[in-house]
Amino acid sequence: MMEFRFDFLNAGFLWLLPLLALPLVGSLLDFKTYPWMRMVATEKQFDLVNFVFVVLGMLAITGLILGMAGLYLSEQSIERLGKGAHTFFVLDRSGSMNQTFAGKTPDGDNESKAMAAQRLLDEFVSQRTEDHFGVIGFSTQPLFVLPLNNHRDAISAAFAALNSPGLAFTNVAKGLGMALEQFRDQAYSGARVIVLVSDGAATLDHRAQKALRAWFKEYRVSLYWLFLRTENSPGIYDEPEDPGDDNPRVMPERYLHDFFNTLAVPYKAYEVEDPEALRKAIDDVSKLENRPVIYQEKIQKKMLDRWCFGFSLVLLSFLTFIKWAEVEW
Amino acid sequence: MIRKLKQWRFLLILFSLIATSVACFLPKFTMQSDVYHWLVMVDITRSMNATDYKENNRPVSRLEKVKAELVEVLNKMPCGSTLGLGVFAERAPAILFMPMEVCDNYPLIETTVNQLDWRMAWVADSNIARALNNTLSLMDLPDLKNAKLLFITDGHEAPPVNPDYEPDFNEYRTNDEPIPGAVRLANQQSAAMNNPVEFTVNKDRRYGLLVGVGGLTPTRIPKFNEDGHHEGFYTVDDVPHAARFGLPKDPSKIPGYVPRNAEWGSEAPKGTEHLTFLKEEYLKSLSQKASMGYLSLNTAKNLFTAITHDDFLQRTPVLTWLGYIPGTVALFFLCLFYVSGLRVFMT
Repeated sequence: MMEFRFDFLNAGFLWLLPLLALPLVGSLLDFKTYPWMRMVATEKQFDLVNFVFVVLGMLAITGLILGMAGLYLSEQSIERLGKGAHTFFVLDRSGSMNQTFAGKTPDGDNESKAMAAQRLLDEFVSQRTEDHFGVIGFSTQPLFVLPLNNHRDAISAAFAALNSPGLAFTNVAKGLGMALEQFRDQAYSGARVIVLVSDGAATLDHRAQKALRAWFKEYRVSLYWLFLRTENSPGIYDEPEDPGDDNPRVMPERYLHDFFNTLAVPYKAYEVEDPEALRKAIDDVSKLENRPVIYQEKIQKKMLDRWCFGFSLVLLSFLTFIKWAEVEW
Repeated sequence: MIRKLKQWRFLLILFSLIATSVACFLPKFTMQSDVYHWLVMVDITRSMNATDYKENNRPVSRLEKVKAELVEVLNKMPCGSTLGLGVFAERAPAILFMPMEVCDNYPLIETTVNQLDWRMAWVADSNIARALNNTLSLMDLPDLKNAKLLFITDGHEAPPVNPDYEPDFNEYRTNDEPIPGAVRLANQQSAAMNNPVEFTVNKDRRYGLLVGVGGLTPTRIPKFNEDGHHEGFYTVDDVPHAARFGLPKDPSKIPGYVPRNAEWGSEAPKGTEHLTFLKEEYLKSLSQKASMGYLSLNTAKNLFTAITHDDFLQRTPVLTWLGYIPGTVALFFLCLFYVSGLRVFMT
């Protein structure tokens, strides 16, 4: 499905189109008195040649005017069927994201978790050309950042905001809830993915658990958790040494992971302790989540003014040659 | 050949040919185009829910008003301009996205603006001066280097602050440049408006604009419960009415002052902090300190005029197409050629 749409940069020049009439009234060749009738072409021959000259002249003027008006083929998007996903990034904006993986203030050699996440997410997005992405941020409350879209510069601008200081705490449930909500009115096309990027977890109350469980199932969204683990902090798979510590308050990561595992949708967790591991996780996501998706391929706007001028140039060269070759005495 | 060149009709078509080839092979030129780069920070604390605006006879909250105005402005910004968006509560700014091009990304920015909500606030306090100070310190980030700050708030500090402990913004001022009082900015368009509103800005507005939103009469602040349901309004007993942070300036004036146990006095102060109105004087002084302009949000035209003021104008090189100039020349000569070929001139 593709339709061509032409447009003009300076449509005002089109008012000059009546000038097309000029070759009809003005002659290419000069009027001359000939000394001998035999030198003059017959009327029929002359009419034909003259007609060709007039048409060429009119076309040359048309080309010039269209070129001046800046004719172009407007940008268009074609719907294509590809393989890909609709992905919502749910990004942790809590204060600890500004520390390094070693839990320190970033210096020249070690980037903060937020910066590492920004860099790699950028890379991820640039590799997945057929996907749509949306962004949700969360700390204590969810922050709506971007709806599903395929504007790479916009998504990158949202990731860049990770560089600004983090906020308060980590309330995973609300961030996920907001992301799931975005799928509610979406036509089902492509894989639906939520990529949760956080450096910590929090306990979910039973109300939140119930809601999340229902929504994940209803909207059929698979979940990837990139857990940016700070060194020596409790991990997803850690077993507590003291059974008394085996509760969601002490080990929220472990319990959140357990909860995600009970969801009726595909779920994968990655403990990311350094930027390299994060890259591996991202590679995985891009391998697994490919389902038929309708996406828009953008075709850049194409200027045609040079073609117009070029067209006129050819015609004018011919007419100039004729004028030059005109018999004279 | 030489003789040919002496024939002026031939020359006309030859000139036309030359001009056409120039038009055909003319490279694109780099021209300067006027653009604006803004980072918009919106206050999303509770007082922004006060409904002191009206639209079609329906009360509209300050936040709704701000959103509507932003969409209007977004509509009018010249292509190539960029806009970033953030919210703030308490003392912390949260940037949602860094400035992005406004024409290409119009639907995205519009959606996000419309999603702005007080529920995004991660805390309920608002500490505006500190939030402003912290936002200004972000303007050095590489993504914000060119951007100016549009800081939108009603100026309602909650809880009230102790002015002795507020940021002084000294690092955002230059010493050689005295900060003059408010001056009038561009009245150029106010005549055209049916409701001319003058807006004042400080002469030194390097960092952008502080925008005040809200009515001037005290209004009640809606109260919402945990589930987000409207549940009446804040009452006099719900909020602190005076600063309790740090030390008071002159303790002897405080009734019931006890140095050890009650350095702010023993009486609970009563006040009107549960009501809210646009604290214009406060915001004006804040904007002066922070080297920003001040503007009261009245009409979008006003806001748009202000943010597109020459002070904030930036020029970006844009590849510009100039083919129409040699094209016009070519057409001109070709027309002359044909006009001179009219029968009347020939015989």
